[in-house]
Amino acid sequence: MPSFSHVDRGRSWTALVLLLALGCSSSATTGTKGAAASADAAGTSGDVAATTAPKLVADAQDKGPAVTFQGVWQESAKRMQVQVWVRDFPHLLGLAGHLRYDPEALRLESLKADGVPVGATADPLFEAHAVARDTPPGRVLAGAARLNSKPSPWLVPEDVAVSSELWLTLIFDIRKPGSHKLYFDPDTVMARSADGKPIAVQWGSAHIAWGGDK
Amino acid sequence: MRYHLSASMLAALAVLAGVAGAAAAPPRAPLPARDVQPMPGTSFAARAAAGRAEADTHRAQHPLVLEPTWYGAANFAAIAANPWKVVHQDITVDVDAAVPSLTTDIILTVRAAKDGISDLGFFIPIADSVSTTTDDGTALAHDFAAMGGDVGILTLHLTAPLSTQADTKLRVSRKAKLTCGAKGLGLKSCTFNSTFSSVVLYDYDLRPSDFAHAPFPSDLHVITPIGKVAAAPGLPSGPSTLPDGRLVWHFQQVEPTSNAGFSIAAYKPVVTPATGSLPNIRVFSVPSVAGHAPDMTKLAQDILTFYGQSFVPFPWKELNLIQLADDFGGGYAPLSTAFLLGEAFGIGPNDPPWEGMAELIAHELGHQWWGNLVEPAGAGDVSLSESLAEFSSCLFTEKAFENRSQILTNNLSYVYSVPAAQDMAITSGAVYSSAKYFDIIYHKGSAVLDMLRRELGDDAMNAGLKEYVAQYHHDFARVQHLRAAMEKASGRDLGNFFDQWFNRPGAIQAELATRVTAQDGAWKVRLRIRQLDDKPRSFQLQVAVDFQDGEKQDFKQDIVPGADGSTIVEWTVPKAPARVRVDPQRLLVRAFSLGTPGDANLSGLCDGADLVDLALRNGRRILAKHKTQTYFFPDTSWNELYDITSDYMVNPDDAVALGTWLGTEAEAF
Repeated sequence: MPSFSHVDRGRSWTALVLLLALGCSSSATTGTKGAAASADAAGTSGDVAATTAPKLVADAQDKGPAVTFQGVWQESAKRMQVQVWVRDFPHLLGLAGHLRYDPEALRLESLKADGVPVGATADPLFEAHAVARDTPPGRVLAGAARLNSKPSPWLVPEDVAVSSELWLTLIFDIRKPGSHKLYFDPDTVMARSADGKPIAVQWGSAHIAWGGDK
Repeated sequence: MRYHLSASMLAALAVLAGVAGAAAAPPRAPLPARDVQPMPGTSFAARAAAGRAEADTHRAQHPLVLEPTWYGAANFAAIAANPWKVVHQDITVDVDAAVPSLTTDIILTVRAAKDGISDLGFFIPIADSVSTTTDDGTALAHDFAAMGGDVGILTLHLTAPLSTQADTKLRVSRKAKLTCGAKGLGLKSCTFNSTFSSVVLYDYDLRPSDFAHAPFPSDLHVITPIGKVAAAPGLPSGPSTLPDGRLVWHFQQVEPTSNAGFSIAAYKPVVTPATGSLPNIRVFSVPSVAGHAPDMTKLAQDILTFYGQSFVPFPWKELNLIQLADDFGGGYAPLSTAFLLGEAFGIGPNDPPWEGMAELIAHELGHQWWGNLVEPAGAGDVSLSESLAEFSSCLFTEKAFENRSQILTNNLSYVYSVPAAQDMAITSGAVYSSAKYFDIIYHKGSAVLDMLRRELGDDAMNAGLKEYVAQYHHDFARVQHLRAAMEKASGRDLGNFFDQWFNRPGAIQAELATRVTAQDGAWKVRLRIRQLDDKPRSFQLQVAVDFQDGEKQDFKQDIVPGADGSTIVEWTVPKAPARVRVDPQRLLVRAFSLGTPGDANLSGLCDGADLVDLALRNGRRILAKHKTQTYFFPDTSWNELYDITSDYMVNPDDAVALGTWLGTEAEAF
């Protein structure tokens, strides 16, 4: 099941050796689910009433397979919740990328990864897995894929059509005024169908704009 | 509070702090092989069972394999003529299926090469009765010394020395009960049921025991009841009729050999005349499956044509393909013949088992070159028969079915089914006695020869095999002779290759790690290969670097390990790599492990892309449980790097485990 967690900053292999050697533990932000994403986010880009409140502005995208951003300002917590959605894939087995942001301007308070792709109807034979970790700060390593839950060598991977599914939920503390970009590093993005072929995807980007007075 | 840091903690701290001279993390060993058998119900299991049936008998035959080096020469071409020789044998066999028993009458023609030969020794299976006479019927003294098992040495004591000027004829008759279930040194197998009466022997009864290389031409006469047909190696004729009404079928074997066997059934032979370099092909199958004889003939012609082009043309004038009962298990290939289990004859190209049967038939027909035209000299040279036959079969199926399934399965079977404690070198003289004989000689042997082919190229490989045949046809050879022929054809010193792969057990065991860095608009890919063997191997490595857009770039690299077994290679690519695939076609006999946990696609970082690539391999496995047993599962898509949890399969558990390593990067190298 998806779960919120405080940000795990990740570590190098040698650092992990150290952590394990010192008896420490670490957790990854992962999730699986077998049903379609539930409720949509409360707000959409530009849906912030207070002119002084921060807002998220997503770049425009054309039709077709896309990864899109949505944001809502959480007035009570004074945090920006950013959601990353996967939309309009005729067939998708999995996708991945490194989401980048400026860690000096934005502090990631929590990160949740939902399993995608699920498809229109959850299939008990399949699990949608997701992994995400912010390491180093400013780089969220994210991936999601659909796996047969009872795999067999006689079965082949199966992809699924995705209309709109929530993938990542990030909550930021905005530390600096200005326009702060969120984007997927184009050198790291990938999306695959079940035959392993790459899918052309519009990897969206967004800006968190804040004038300096929350 | 006192803190105590262990050595491993200190080492980790040193690495983390970048202390100069700090040791790298110890390499992670690849998954070890397990002592497992093929998964029942898979086509590979059936194929392996057929191969093992053949291999089992080789093991039984071991004590009779003679070492020509006893004579102090490299091979028989260099040995002085034997002191006497068998000029011809005329053999009549009569089976009593009810007992069962076999009566054999042999007219033996011999001639001395030097004066003073008056005792002649022969290997024969133990008999209930033996009589020996001269050609005119005069009794001839003999004695018999059991060797253990079902074979002994029969020595004929002549009343006068053999002539060097003229042939001498002697007669030997023997009768013996047959125990078909017990494989011995003389009898390979026999079957007596309502359909078949068959006897397959390693050698005709009278094989000289004084020297190893003693083939002879022969005529075989097989007595059958009315309504039955005999099948055996050689040019058939008949039948003639005995006074009691029974039939006698004749088989002339003009080629010198000592292989033997025959079968009796209601065969409906289908003969296809010789054409071009192809021989007369006769399919001896029973009427219920005789409709498939053209399929069998066409397959044999395709195989012989392919081998003829790759090696040298088929060396004999006849080829008889003889159906035996299914309990025969596999195949056996005396000169100019293949005895095959029954079900091989009852299928056609559109039947699912066809590809597996083609593998078996191609293996047996490969023996016409490897094992018959050129014979292995000693116990350490069996690869010259079985490994070459299996390799040839792999070459054929790769071309005919346009896939590498057979060689890949052989490769994986060896790597995952032969634990180090049971492993032996291909050239070990003791390999016959190994429980893993089949896996080492057939599977690893063929995979090693395929590696050699990949290193040399098809043209040089085929030229080397042609050179080998040209030098050693109708003779014995040793593995070093094959090496010499390959070196001559390729112009390369192959001493290291043969030492690594023929003279040493094991496979490449290596840990892989990559580091990828962007620099001036390009990307540097550094690959570290850390071999775990005490004696790391040199080899040619193929690497594919994949990009996000689906394009890729291929590299070929000679790997020459340093003293610590490590090799670091570096390439520059124009785009950000999505993954690095090391030995992507599994051309090497190897097992890999990950130096950077979770970085299964070797991009240099464990990230979400590893999960997507893992999803594409979900379900792949190399071991599988059936009931309470664990078996080798022949999954040619197996990629051990994605088995994060080291349980010999890729499944959602690996996806979960991968998540724990997210963000892990390779240590600096």
